[in-house]
Amino acid sequence: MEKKESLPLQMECTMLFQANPYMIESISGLERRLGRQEEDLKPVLNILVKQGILQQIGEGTASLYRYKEPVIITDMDIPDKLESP
Amino acid sequence: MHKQISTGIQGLDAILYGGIPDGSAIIIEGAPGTGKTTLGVQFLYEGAVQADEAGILITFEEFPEQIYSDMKSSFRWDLRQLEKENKLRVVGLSPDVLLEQMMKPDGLIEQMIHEIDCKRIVIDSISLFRYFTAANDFEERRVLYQLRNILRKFKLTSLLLQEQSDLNVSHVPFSHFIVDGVIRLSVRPHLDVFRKRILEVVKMRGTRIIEGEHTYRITDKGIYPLNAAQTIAEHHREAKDKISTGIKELDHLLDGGMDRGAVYMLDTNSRANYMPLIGSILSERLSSQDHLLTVLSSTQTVEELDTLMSRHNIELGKVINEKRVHFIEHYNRQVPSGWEKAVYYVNGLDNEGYDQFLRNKCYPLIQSEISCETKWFVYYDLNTIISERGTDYVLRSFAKEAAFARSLGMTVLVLCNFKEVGEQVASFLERTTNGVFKTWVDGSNQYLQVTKASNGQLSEPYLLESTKEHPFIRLI
Ligand SMILES: Nc1ncnc2c1ncn2[C@@H]1O[C@H](COP(=O)(O)OP(=O)(O)OP(=O)(O)O)[C@@H](O)[C@H]1O
Ligand SMILES: [Mg+2]
Repeated sequence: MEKKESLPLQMECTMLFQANPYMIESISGLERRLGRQEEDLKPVLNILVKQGILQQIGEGTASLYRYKEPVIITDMDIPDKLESP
Repeated sequence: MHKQISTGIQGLDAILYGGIPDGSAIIIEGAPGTGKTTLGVQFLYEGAVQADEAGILITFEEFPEQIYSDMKSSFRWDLRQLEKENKLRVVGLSPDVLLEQMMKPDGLIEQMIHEIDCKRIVIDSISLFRYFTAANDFEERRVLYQLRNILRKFKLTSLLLQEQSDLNVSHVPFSHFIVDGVIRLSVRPHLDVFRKRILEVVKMRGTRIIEGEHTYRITDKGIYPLNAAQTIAEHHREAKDKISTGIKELDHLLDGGMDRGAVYMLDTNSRANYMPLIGSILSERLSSQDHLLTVLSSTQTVEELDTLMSRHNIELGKVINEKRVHFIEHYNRQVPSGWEKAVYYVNGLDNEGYDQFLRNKCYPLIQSEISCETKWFVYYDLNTIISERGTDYVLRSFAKEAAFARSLGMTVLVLCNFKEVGEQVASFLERTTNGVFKTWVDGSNQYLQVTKASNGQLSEPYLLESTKEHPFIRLI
């Protein structure tokens, strides 16, 4: 349930990083850029890291996220992957 | 001695006698909208394109995508393409992340520097460090000092953009002490209508500079400083290659006059009265014994040209008798008797026929007279050719004709309304010419500006003022 709801936010994050492929942001930076809250962002970022869309550098609240070169994602068929994390 | 690296901005390199000393950190200071980001990106873009040096743009506040799209729409700089070629990275992050990653062994920035063999970096803007150091001067100074040392360690030539916080220019921020150079951009009101942009090198270790305030413009090619008189003198040509326009100030702007054998365009709109300019240039040519070939336009008949010339003390009838002037006429119009021999009627000719006329009649005439040391001047209104022969015809033939004219040492002045012909055609035409003058009306004033010239200099816009005597205009 929760994951379904997070789909739009996943898209939002993915699109942000796609349009800014060399951006390096912390969660608090992403809060500012997207106007979203940490508690909503965190699970979404975890999913994107698992999917190989983002790379996470460091652990905890200080961790940074950046876009991984799109060898994996050619189009965004996120729903499939979503059901089996 | 440090090697100097080109900023990619011609006028600025001249001011710096070659460029920025390699590996130095320079502050670019200016109020909002003065062009700091533009200058920074231009430095990286030209570095990649001209010098094959990779660069990194660090942007704290803007989204990189905003910069991609702004730079593309304003200057046609395709930064995404450079990124694909590993010549550039536009990195969006926050000041604390930047510092953290720069200090960390093999941090993300260091990795990136090695990945693309980065030589140049721009940080937009260091003013943001102020927030992250909680406006603590001591802390801010420490951070900037650290930053400068890291940049040096990586041997990067850096531009640090800084918002001018203090309007009181006598206050020197501490940041200016720790960097190798400071360039200030500012804007001032000028002639009521214009804001004059001024670039000044406040400090630059390791190179001579041309001191003083240099006017600059932001054009569709980026920042464009207009050079101080000294550098213009270096481009000075021998006077015999120059031909006077009859207007002292304009000649001065052109380092003595138009270049003999070059192709010029006068970009004018319908409201601007360009006839005094044309009158002055043509009469000056005729009184210097040049031969004149001109295409009559829908708005200009032989009689009108006669009137214009007599105002400038040239008797057209006399020149016609000396066979020094020839007209190409696209319309079925009468000329005063005795002048017919100077007129070629092309009103019946289609484009191919017109081409043949040029090749078989017009060019041979010119060539035959060239051989006896005659100097030719050609003047016509391109909008007439466009309306009579079509844009395609002009696009196909203009470059060819320009090359022909140049090869024979003919000087050409073409009138054209850039707005009317459209941006693409105008930019093509502009590239084909050696020089462009632009005149336009703003409010109740008319202005003239040299927007392209062989010395590479753009002029400021000048007010065109009418005077009572020949040449009836002057620039102020
Ligand atoms: N093609 C162009 N021709 C003329 N002026 C242009 C062109 N493109 C942009 N400009 C002008 O350049 C200015 C933008 O400069 P830039 O964004 O580099 O300034 P800045 O000093 O970085 O400003 P800020 O402090 O707001 O970041 C704008 O004022 C814009 O009007
Ligand atoms: Mg800016």
